[in-house]
Amino acid sequence: MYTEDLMEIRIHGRGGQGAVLAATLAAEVAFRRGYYPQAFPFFGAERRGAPVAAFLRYSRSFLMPRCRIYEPFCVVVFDAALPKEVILEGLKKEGILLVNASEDISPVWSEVAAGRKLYLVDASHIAADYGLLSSGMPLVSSVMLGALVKILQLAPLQVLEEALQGKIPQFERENLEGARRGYKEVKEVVQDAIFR
Amino acid sequence: MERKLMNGNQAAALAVKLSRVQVVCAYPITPQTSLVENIADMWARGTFPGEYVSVESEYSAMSYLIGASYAGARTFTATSCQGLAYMHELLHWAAGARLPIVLVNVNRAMGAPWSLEPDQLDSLSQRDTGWVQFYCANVQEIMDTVLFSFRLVEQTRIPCMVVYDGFVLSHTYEVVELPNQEQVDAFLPSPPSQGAFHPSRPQTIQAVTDSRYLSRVLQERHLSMIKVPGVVKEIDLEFQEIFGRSYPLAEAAGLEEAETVIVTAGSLAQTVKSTLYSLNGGKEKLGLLRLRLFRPLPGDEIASLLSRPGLKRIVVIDRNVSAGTGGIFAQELRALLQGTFYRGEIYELNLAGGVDLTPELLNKGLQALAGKSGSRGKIIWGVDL
Repeated sequence: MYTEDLMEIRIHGRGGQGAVLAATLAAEVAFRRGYYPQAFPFFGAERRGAPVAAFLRYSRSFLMPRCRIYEPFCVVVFDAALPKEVILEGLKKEGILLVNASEDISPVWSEVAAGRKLYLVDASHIAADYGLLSSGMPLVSSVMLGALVKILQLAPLQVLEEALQGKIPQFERENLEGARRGYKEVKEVVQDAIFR
Repeated sequence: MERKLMNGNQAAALAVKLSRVQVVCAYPITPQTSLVENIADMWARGTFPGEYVSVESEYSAMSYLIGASYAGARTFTATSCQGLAYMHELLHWAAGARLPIVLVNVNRAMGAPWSLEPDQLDSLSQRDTGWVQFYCANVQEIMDTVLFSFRLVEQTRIPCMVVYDGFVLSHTYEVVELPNQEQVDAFLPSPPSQGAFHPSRPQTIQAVTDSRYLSRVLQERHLSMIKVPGVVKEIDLEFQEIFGRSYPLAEAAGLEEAETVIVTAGSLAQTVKSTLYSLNGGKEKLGLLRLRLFRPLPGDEIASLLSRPGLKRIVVIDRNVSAGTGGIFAQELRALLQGTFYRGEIYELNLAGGVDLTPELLNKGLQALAGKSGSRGKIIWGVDL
């Protein structure tokens, strides 16, 4: 409508998991690829552990709307236990769903995706490999970011690594490694025709 | 020029640092909090050379700055909604005493009930305090307008409020061109000597006055305020020379051909602008007028921008309401256009309470208003559409 290459993404997580940080870092990657990004949090007070959302919009044109995102092309799920109806709200039929989940539960998510492209990455386990935990909650932000950059074909791994330099407040080495693993290990789930 | 991703609050904080502000005094309040946290953080790291003073309320923050400003310091504070209202009495004082203070207000709805939505009533309620008010539309403009304001207040000795939408701009990261310190120093010389207070020269100022003297003071303030649009234009020329960016008093887009002009302020304007040529299937010729300098309202400039023979209707989008009267920007525009060439209606699409303006809502609003003829003052509420 206003700009043909407009990309709109919504990230679902829990307060403290780094959804806002991931949106901001993805914006940094988009910026390095010549896009104008807008990254913003859900408007309101954030509480640890409570469901939160963060948003990212980017385009080759600065002239994008400034409203919140209601019909994202891509939804990223940090915590697979979040309510499915919240996750799917407004997600375009031709859109993409990226979930932090292991491959053995892919049938469940195929049904949820209902014909949309579906990608899974076992981010909680990868984060745990690097000790990325806070009060037992896996900090999957960087792993999910790596996966997101890969599935959107937003940038090569090297650009992602450069974008993260000096941008992560704590555990920089571990998060960099997590982002690399997310980038490399995210997989598209080939879905049965029945769900398409 | 270096470009970096940052949000509105970070941009304002960086502008304060680059402006070599000497005294910052503030009290945190959402959604302003990260702005003052950023300044406090720079202060704690030793990269902000000014004083950062924590106080127990916004009332004290403005009081402190009034004192610091009397003493000749370059001063800054920031707040939102209830915090700004709490400063109200002192906003009058700062303007009356002609103190060059810069304040950022991050728009947030006034309670009750409690809300975090970006309603504009907080800053608009301070319309008559005698402060200059700018409404910003993007993060770059926030940084530039804060820098600009220090120059403006020191030249005019009228305090200035830089206003932007809570969350929509305060918390949104986007690409900003960073000015460097040399550029800012060239634009903003040291704060002027202001005949500061000193214990060796005790004096009373702003003592009790009678109506004749007071009326002169108020007349002088009024006349000084009227000159502000001209001063802003002059300073903008220098700003453009140094930073390569320029800002109009009011932003116009597509006005030449427009049959309908949408008038709004702040970040709402970008949503309108981005959809200007595609709304309503592109059938209607639409234009945009964004109010940027709101106090003083540059009446001549706005009237001349709107002076187009093809103009059939004006639609004002307010994200505020003066209960019982309507949107405040719409009221201002009606007053401004009274007795001019424009004889058409001024319609209102009201988004009070922070209703989000999507291209779809804008389209619906324009269509709903199309059916309203001869109903001057009629409001369409976004929440009803």
